[in-house]
Amino acid sequence: MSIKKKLAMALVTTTAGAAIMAAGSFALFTGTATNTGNTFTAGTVIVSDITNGTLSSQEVNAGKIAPGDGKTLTMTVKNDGNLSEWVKIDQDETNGTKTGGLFGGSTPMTLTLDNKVVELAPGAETTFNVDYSLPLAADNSYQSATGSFNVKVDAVQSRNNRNSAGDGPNAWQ
Amino acid sequence: MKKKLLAIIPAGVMAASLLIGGATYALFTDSATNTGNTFTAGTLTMSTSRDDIPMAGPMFYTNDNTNGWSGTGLWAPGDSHTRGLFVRNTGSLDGKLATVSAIAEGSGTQYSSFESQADVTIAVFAPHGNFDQTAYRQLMQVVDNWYANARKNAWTNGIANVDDYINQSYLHQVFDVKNVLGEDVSASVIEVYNDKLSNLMSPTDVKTLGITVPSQETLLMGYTVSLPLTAGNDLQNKTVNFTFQNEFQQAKNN
Repeated sequence: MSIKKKLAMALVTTTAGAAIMAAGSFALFTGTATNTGNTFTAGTVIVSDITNGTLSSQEVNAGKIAPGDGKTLTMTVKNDGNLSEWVKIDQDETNGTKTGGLFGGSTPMTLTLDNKVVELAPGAETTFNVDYSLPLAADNSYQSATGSFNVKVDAVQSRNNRNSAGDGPNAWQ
Repeated sequence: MKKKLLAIIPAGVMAASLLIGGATYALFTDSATNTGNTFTAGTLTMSTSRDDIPMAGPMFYTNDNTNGWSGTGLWAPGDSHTRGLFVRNTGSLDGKLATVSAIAEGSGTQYSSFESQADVTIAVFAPHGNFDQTAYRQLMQVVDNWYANARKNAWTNGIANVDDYINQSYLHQVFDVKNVLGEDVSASVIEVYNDKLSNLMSPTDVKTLGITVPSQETLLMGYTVSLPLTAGNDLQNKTVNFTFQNEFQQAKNN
């Protein structure tokens, strides 16, 4: 090979090398570690009213209440979710639904709401008592008056949510 | 004398003709060749297996089954589960952990919701002592229990930023377990990633941690996924699937 050819080749090589360096990029060998198909499924907190009708329908005299009448009505709820849950009657919300003349005036009908807190496993049921009473002192101004109410039961997961006594949640929401 | 002259003249003439001819001539030459030079590039290949070897499959699954007995069960806010992943360098080059990432295996609002709410901690465990498979399995159980209890303690004591508290405590833990011979061994924690799952959806550069896996050796990585107590109802009854991925680069010249 002539000297000229040798020099020419050296220049080409050098130029190529310079081009690679000037480009500023390079590749390293890499390997990848992968773990696929990781599944995360969240559970459900569901509480259902399975009383099978209104609470008031448990009172045969619901349409003709008289002073002195009273009875314990029962609401039945069921955990239809797949996580254990605490359930209770929401006192404030329930009392907030009372409307009508029977709940007004000087001797109104009273509702005494069960205040127990129950932990229900999935599929389990429990009952809550609601006592109604129209005082004997209710006067004629209450004749034909009506009273309506709803009973609201709250549910919250019991997992990771237990008070120090173990008989209720740390938080309801 | 004449012969000498005659002998001289042809040589002189020949010599002159050689010079006058000008262009070519021959010199004695030789060459030495070194043959058979071979370069073989090394390899960097990684294989993974769950901590419950020889079981294969994802680290996180819901129900115990014939492929594993460490199901997480259904998830609820406040839940935390830790699972281990052995990463073995099956190549001939040492590897350096370069990035960690996660890949959603589906789409939908449940994915964005889960990603934005779930916390992920990825750690590497540095073993001390004669660690064997028995010790590794105990380690994962111990870490899982530690994490769950630490969260409960934080909530009970009213710690404001539970995640930061937990992870700072985690970094200083040395977990003590026993190997199959009953010998005491321990593992300390090197945190690789600690943030929302959403931020893991883009590869996170962890090369500066300098975590390397020599050729033919194995690294144990711990993955902890947690749902905060504040996780919303929109996650109820939803299922999401993810791939966890780690990229290694050659350690040499890097």
